[in-house]
Amino acid sequence: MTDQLGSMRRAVVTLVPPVVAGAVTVGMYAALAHRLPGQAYGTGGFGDSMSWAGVVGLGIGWSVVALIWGAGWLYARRRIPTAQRWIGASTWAGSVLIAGYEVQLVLRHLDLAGPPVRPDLWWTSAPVVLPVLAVVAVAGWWAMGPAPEQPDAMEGPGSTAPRLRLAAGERALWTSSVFSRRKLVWALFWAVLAAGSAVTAYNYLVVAFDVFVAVVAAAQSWARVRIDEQRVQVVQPLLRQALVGVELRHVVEATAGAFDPSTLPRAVYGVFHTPAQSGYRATAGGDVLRLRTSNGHRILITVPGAATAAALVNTQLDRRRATAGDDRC
Amino acid sequence: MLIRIDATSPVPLGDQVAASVRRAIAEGQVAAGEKLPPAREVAESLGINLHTVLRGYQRLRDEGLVDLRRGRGAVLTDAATRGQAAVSERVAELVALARSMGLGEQDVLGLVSAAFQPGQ
Repeated sequence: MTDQLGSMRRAVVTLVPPVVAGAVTVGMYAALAHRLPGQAYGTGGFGDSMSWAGVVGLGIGWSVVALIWGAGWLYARRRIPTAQRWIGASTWAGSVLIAGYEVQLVLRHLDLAGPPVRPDLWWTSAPVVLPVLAVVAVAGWWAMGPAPEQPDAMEGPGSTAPRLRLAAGERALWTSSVFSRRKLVWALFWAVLAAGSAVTAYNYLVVAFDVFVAVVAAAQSWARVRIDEQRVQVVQPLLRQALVGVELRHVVEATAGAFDPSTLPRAVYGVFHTPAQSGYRATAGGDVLRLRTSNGHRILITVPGAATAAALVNTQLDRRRATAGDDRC
Repeated sequence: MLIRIDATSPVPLGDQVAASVRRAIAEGQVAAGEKLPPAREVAESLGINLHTVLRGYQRLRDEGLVDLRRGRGAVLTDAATRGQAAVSERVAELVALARSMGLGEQDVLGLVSAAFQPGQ
């Protein structure tokens, strides 16, 4: 599949579900309006009721939010090949949630003259909704298709770039553990919020969301940076899942230095993606490993001993270029 | 921590892995309580056998630098100070040198004992 076709596929997969959710909202109401009472009850609105125009407007509004979310994320990550699938997963799950909410509300009011509204339908309970959302998210993840191809780097590190002295037959692996206290504090914050939501105003979707964010933050609070002959990766040690990664064939040059906190928003810790740069931030300052990639995107990783890491990356890049040169002869 | 191995070196690969860890401790790159990278990860990244890496880790355990526990991986012990790692590294070099010169364990132990005698 060409990159253009892939981009189109990802755009369609991301943007069609919110449109469908909006269409379901309008379609359901248009088809069944004659069988609905004057108001929708049990919606939490003023007097615990809401006009049907308000219900439909709410569904369309959330669909537009999902659409903007998907389009914005797609644009922001257009140069980040490894972070694409989450976009589809999120808009699919979000759209099913929006459409599902609207459908259950209409079905609970069918042929009803007035309040009270019928009790919650069985398929709106947590044991059904959460697995369904998970399955839908996986389907969206799969539908996004393979990651976009990134071109191989055509140039290598400059002559002044740091390098490591490696013997001809020598192989090297650089690894370092990083720990982000601030990310752990965020994880605790979300965990407390989840506990609070569960105890005070129980809403399983809010609790599930808080728990999800807490788990993600906790997972990102501790990571291991690994550089071998193939790639640079930030790995979650327990899950053995790459949080951030780049193949060395896509890297032009590595440098190291002191991290400039002004390059990122103050609250950004753990994995981050912006249109210009991606990476992993564990600390407010300190050493940072910078990688320039073939599409102009930069990877930043705050890690102690970044100078050695950068030197190893450049040495591996030199080796790759030398091998490629040998192959061309 | 930089782990380097050279397949063309006469030093066994496991010992090279152990030497890399010792060097990292001696240079202060890693501290007591830190976990070493999983042996499987090191083996895959360097293209060597898992048991070779485990042999290196076991050597570090025998030296008291590493605590190996099932499910916890390899963790640097409190004894893994810069000084001890530096001495262990020199000992490893001494043994390699002695082997290359045809000296046995007792010969080296004798030399070390003699070196510890007062007045030496």
